Amino acid sequence: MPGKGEVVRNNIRRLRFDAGEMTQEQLGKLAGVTRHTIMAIEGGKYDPSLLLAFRIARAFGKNVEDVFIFAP
Amino acid sequence: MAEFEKRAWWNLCVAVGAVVLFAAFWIVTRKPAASAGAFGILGLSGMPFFRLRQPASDERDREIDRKSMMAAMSLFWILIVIGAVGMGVRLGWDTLVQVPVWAFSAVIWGGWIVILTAKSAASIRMYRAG
Repeated sequence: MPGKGEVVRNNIRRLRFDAGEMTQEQLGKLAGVTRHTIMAIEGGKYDPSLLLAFRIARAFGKNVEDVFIFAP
Repeated sequence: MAEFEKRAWWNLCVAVGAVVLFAAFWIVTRKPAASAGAFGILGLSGMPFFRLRQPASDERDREIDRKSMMAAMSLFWILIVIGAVGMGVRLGWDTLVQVPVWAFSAVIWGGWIVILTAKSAASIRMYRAG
């Protein structure tokens, strides 16, 4: 969990767009979570575990730091 | 709505329904012992867990489940301490009291209702928050 003033941003919306408007459902299936969890992560309301972050990055064929940005 | 949020709503409705039904029976029949039968509907709280095909849960569902259980148990613990200490302070620690069996039984049902309600409400709140 990020500390005070620390935020983890993500590029999931843009990456889904770049991946031919991949749906949250499709991304969820690739990452092994529900659409609701993808929605929460994308909206910045839930910080995924390291494992899930890697799975999401792998679904886009990217590195974790290309998907998630730590903004202290 | 996530499957586990639906379960939380279901359990919340069951818990509130049991209390409402108990109160309604008591008002209508004027027999609290017989009205305590209304707590039987609490058994419905386990119903979603008997489905053959269980919905898939992920790390967020498990985290919400863990946090909501912690919130429910904390509230339950606070109420137990208040109840145990409050009774002794109010009635006197050496006082002998007699209570009908239905009242004793209702306290046990009440404990389960507190846990069920608090856990469901906390889950719903967390799902709503994201």
